[in-house]
Parts: sequence; structure tokens; C-alpha cells
Amino acid sequence: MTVTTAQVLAALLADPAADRYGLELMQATGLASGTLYPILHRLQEAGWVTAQWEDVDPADAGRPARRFYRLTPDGVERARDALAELHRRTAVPHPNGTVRPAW
Amino acid sequence: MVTARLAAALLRVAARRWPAAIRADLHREWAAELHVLAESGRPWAMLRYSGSLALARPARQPMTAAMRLRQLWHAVRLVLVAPVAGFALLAVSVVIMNVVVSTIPYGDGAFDPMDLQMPIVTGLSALSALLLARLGRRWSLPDRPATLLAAVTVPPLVICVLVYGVTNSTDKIRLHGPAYLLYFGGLALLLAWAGHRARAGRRRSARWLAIAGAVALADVATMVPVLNSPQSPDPLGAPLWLFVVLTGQNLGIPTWPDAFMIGDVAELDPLFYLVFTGFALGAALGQKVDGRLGRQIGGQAGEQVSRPAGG
Repeated sequence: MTVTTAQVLAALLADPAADRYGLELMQATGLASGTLYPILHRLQEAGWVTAQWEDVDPADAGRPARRFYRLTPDGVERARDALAELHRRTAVPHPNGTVRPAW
Repeated sequence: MVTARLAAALLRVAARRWPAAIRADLHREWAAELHVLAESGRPWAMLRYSGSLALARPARQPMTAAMRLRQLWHAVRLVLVAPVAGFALLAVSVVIMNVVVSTIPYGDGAFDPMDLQMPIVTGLSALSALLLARLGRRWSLPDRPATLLAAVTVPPLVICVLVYGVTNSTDKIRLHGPAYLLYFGGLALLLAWAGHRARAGRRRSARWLAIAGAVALADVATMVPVLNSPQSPDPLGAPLWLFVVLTGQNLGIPTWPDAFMIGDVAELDPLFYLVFTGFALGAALGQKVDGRLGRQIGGQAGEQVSRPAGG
């Protein structure tokens, strides 16, 4: 898993029940749109993330419907496992015998 | 307004790089996000958002060996199989014409079986062009219009030159080469313009204008070797030379030496143009999916992005 994918998963895991728009995720992760959307696409393909169109009438709202993203229940579990695994792998031994992340 | 238009154009570029199945949805989503940025009066953020998408490498589905092989076959059939099939169909047309003409006895009247040569071979070549147009429609690459244009014009150009190359006819390459360059280069530009028109929803007119443009190009390209040859037919009849060759009739120009000489110099060029253009037109303008997506993308860009920017 790349660091950028981990950033996206961490942002989604911050509130797994929340619907997140692309712009929100860009702000939360600091990633550019050209980096974020390919990651979201791959996560959707893997079944970790689901995308839904906002249920609004564009005429009433005065704007087009947006698409929001959310982790699937399976995605929540797997994202937590993946981040924990990443955390474990990037940890370096500390002189007093404990481990801590290298970053 | 300029920022919104530029951002919308960048989004269109970005969307076209993604797989066709998800392209329209992605563009709709991006346009909605761009609208949010436009409403909050953030022109630079709009440009960053759309520019990043246009420059980034889009996600691609993982490729299996079978998918790679299929992709390779799609390229090979477009670049190699189609032009070779075109040339083979033309060769078969000439053989059939020879067989038919040789079975017709010479009569005592004015009828000469040789007069049937060009009408027969042109008719068979037109049928071949129709067949190839259907093939082109099936073998098209609607997601990659620029690649497609190169694939349907460069290989036929190479084959036409090779026909003379393998017979060591360097003089003929010098005579016909500029005509082929003019025709197939012009055809690429013509199909690029017509494809743009078709994607904007004017498919029918795009197709007919492309056919008319190809006839005009072929007409001019047929003049090139004749005018560059040592013979000097009356140039006043030049616009008719293409049709003189295709029909085998003099069409009002002197039969001897002009009509004979034109057919002698132009050789198979008009038939090459006919056969290879059938495939090119079918591949570039025959499919429907790209036009629909193009309209969706174009329409959304105009409606959703341009309006709220306001300045």
C-alpha cells in the first residue's frame, strides 16, 4: 500500500459513517485531485469504498448533484487492518526496547 | 468566465483519458466539484483541480495476460490486418475483372470488352470499401481518436509506397509518393475535423462531409502524378481525371492521348484511395459510443461549469 492510499484510508476512517466528497477528501489528505481520484477508483474496484450520488434535485439546489464516498463495512475492517499492518512494518525498534513508527 | 472555460476544457481532457465505461460519471462528478469551487469564487483552485486531473495518470484496470494479448490483437488488426486485407481485396478485384473480361468475346461492332475493365474493378473495389467500412466500425478505437487516425492513414500510405518499393520502381515512388502523402495526410486532418463534428452530435453531416472531402482530396491527389509526369494532358480537364480513371470513360476529355495517358500514369491510385478510405471512414465515424459520451461531456461542461463562475 502506498502512503497516499494510507492517507485516503485514514481520512475515511476518521469518521467511517460520514459521507465524504472529493473536495473534502482533498482537504483532509492534502492530495491533489489527480492523485486522489485514481486511489478512490482503485478502492472502489477493490470493494473497500462505495460511491453514491447525492440525492438532490439540481434545479432546486441550484447546483449539480455531487458524489460522495464512504467505506464499506468490509472496507472499514480491512482499512483498519491495513493501516495497523503499515504501522507495524514502518515501526523501528527504540533503544529502550519498545517500537515506534519511523515517521 | 475564461477560468471556467479553461477548467471545463481541462476536465474534458482528463475525462477522455479514463476508461469509457466510467468516463461520463467521473466527468459529472468533477464538474459538480468544480461548480462548488466556482461558487466560492476560487478560480485558482478550479484550475489546480482540473489541471491536476488532466495531467495525472488515470487509474487503469489491472491487465491480465489475456487482456494484453487482446489489446495487441486489436492493434495488429487495425495497423496490419486491415490495410493488408484492403490491398488483398483490391488484388482480388483486379483478378476477377481480368477473368470476366477475358471470357467476353470481341464482337464485330463497336463494343470492346476492355471498356468493362475499369467499371468492373471500380465496382468491386466499392463493394470492398463498403465491406471494409463495416469492418472498420467493428475494429474502431473510440477511446483513442488520435491513435485511430494514425492507424487508418499511415499503414495504407506505407503499403501504397511499398507496392512500388518491392518492384524497385523508385521513379514511380517519386511520382506517386507526393500524391499519397497529400491524400492520406489530408484524410487524417479531414477525419479529425469530422470526428470532432460527430462527437458534437452532428454525426450524419460529419459522415457526408467526410465522404465529400475524401472525393475532393482523391481528385486533387490524382492530378499530382499526372501533372508531374513528362506527358502533358490538357489541365483544363484535371477535375475529371479521377472519374476518368474510375469509370474508364473519357467523360468529355480527348480519348487519345489524354484519357489513355491519365489512366496509364495514375494506375491504381484512385482504387487505393477508394478501398482504404472505406476502412478509415468506418473506423473514424462509424461507431456511436464516443459521440454520445462526447455530447454528455460537452453538455455538462457548458451547463455546470461555465455558468456560476461569472467572471
